[in-house]
Amino acid sequence: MNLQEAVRGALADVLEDSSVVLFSQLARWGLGGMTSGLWEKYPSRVLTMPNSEALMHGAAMGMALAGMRPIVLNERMDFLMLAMDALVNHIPIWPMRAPMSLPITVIAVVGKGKGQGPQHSKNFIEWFRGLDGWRVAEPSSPRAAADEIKGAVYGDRPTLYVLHREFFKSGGECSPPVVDRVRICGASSRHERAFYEGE
Amino acid sequence: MKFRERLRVYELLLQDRMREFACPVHLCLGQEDVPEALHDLLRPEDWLYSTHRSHGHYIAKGGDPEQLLAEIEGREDGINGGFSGSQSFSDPALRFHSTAIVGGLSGAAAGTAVALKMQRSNALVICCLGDGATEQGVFWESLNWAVLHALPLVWVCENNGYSVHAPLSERQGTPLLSRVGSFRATVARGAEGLRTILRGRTAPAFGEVPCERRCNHVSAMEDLR
Repeated sequence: MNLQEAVRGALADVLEDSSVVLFSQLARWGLGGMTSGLWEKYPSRVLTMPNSEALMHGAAMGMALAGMRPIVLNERMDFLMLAMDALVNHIPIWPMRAPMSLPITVIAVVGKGKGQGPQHSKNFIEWFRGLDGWRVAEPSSPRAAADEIKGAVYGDRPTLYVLHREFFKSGGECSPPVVDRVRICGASSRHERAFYEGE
Repeated sequence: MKFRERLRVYELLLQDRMREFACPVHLCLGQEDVPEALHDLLRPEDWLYSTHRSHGHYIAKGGDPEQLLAEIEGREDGINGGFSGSQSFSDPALRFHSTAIVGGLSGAAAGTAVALKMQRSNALVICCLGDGATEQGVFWESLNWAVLHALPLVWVCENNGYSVHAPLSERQGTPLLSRVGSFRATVARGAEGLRTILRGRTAPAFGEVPCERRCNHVSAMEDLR
């Protein structure tokens, strides 16, 4: 079982629970195999979203407040930047106000790098690790990927769940890149070489 | 005493004590029409998302004015133990949440409305906002989605004509209601129009209630201008 199959299997498992909702622009139409077959089985809880990231992540909070367990899928982590008000000013602050469960799972995929360009390959994971209120999961094997989805969905706090596109077909342990700062890489092949190969 | 008079007395009391409060306080003096309509027509199961100017909305939803005062004073017996202050707080048991980010809860309101629809609930989500919030992208994103899915969501826009000190004429080019109406949400103007929406529990809908803010934007702001 590779990473992508593990994610798909875990999403299928959690969707058996009627409080789980999975949504993104392409949850129904295909996201690297992570969601294939899920809409066919759960058409009312696998939602196509407009290209509205601010709405998507705000809506996740509103669903969770009403007792649902939302999972938002972002095909690239770069797209989270359109949703920062929900992700920074709202979601992490709410459980600090009053005791409440806020089981929001935000899945974000870090692009593979080479050729993806500067708006499809950034990794902001350290921003979220440094931000109060978020749990960050970065699974490094198919087994961990499945466990972490279940942990996030059935937990009671917001989780940013980060996948790396380059490991989707990997069946074993993989080593996510350690990033000390956000690199705006991919602007040119020269820049990519410098970042990925330490030119 | 009628609800709107009680609210006015409460806000005047806060106005007198304004310099004692550490947190920003936005009073709703002059903007009593919407709280009064919410007080008269909301049901306990309904959700209310509100703004920085939320005292009237909160008390209308059944919030305790004493606990709100404690929150404004930063006391532990406040709504959020004094963590939140006046302009942005949550009372989950009352299904009430407010934010100090203009338009910031538009998406949350739409998400709750989707959840209610999935749960086959008869509850309604009310999202209060000011005229300024209708300049935020997320408001239009949420409107599009609410109409697409026929969500049980009613926006209540208190249009006081100003974003802090900036007049509407310098911020918006065409009348708001016709733009919202073009999305095919039910629209209505004025307090009576809003009451008709709430009475009929019509949704998705947008009520614009013109009003005049008869106080500073925030706290003793004239001192700072």
